[in-house]
Amino acid sequence: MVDYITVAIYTVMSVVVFVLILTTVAFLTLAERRISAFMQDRLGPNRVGPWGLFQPVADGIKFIMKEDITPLEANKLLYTLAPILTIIPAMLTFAVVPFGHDLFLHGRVINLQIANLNVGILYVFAIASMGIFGIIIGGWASNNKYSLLGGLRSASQFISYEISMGLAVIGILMVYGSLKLNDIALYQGSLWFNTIPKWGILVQPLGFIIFLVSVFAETNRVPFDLPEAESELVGGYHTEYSSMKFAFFFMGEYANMITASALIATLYFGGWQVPYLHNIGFIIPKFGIVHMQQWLVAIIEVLSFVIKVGFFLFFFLWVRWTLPRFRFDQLTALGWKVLIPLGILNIVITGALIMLRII
Amino acid sequence: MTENKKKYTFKEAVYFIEILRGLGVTIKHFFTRRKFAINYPEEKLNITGNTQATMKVMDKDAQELIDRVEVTMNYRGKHALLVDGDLGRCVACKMCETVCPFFAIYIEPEESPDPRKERSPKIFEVDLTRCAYCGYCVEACPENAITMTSFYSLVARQRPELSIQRKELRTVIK
Repeated sequence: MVDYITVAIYTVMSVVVFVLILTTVAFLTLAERRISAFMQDRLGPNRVGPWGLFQPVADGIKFIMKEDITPLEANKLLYTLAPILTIIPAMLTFAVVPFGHDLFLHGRVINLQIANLNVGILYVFAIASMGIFGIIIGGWASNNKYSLLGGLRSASQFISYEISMGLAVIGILMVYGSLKLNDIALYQGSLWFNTIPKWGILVQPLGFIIFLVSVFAETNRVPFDLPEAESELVGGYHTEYSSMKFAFFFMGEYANMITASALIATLYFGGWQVPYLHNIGFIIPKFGIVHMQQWLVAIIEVLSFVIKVGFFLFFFLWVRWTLPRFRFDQLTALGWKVLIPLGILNIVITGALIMLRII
Repeated sequence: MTENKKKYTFKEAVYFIEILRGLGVTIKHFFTRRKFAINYPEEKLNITGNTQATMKVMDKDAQELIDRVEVTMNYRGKHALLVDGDLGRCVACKMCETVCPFFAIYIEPEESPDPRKERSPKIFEVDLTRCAYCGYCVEACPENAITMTSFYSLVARQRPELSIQRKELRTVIK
């Protein structure tokens, strides 16, 4: 029998998460401009509303009002399909990211997660790699050499860095022994020598660096933003796009950033975990227990998740305004000659440490 | 690519440590911002501030002009016609009108009602849309009657609004 109330709860939750992601995307575009301005001793957009907070609204109106141009020789169907194929995977990936511990409400167990899939990480990889189709198709369909070059670059970049990303995640899977992201987050609350929480960054420092670099490449962010490389390829794969189609590519990039930040937080920074916080409250070894209500614990956990994701979103922007872009041969060399061997080394080390029962 | 290969130290070759240093630089700027930009309509550039050194007093009233009408020696903004008390300095000699390369000044003289001088301008008009702010009129003036202020915010909805008449140019000193 279908439990309609549970279904209703999950439906509401997915709608809320969807809206929240879209809002975050909107404000992220503003944050990017403001933070970049601050880092370069400028002011940034500060005219629309207090501190420029309504700038995303103005941008949105502008995008909708602009003329939607399709190049004459473009393949109309694929040209329209490409932005859709970019934004949908970016949104879908977030479905398996947990943002809190299970809640117990009147005999029901509610995961603070839209879908607690048993293939969690595989789902993330499967959906995230679909995002590349949008970029390649967009580059090809717009019948422009710069767009095509951007699309091809992103294809080779994705293939190179998908592997190192997978190798980094294998280390995590070996340590925590589950594909479910919720389980991975849960295990990171367990303690090492009864004192230090087993967060991914402490257990897998090398894996974390590999994953971080790969994620930057996967989201097409500086220093790996070769697919759009505005100083070389005009605008890269979205050169010909205008109006809302361009906005979809734009939103897809930022939605990808949010998902990537959430993944980094979940896999390496304990997800929603707060050190020593359990279902019943804080349990501090050799000190005692601070009891707390379930809802209070849930709020603290969700807040902890939001803060971690927020930090990594800031980190994405921070890196963007620090590093110059890689040359293309440097990019592939880093992927194939450095990160993949390091990823394999990481797996070997992790295996050895597990054999020695250190992790 | 191989001929000019630079020898990197270990720290530079790893690159990761150098990235951290770079991140440090950007975050330092993020938290301790130096202010270069000016929020224009709310804040205004203080133009008089940097001109004190060049004040080698051409006009005996220069200091007072700086204090009162923000006249500077090296910034050339909107014009001003100086008036000593009740007596306008301009004698309508048309020197400025003659020297003006852009025909921005138009003067119609009349007999001065004041016995202290012979002529005074009936109409003194500066077309600020024609003016290139070269300052020749200020140099040509034998009476130090016309000067330029630091007023630079010349905004109007229609061109005739920027053609400034004598009354608007009048600046009383003393």
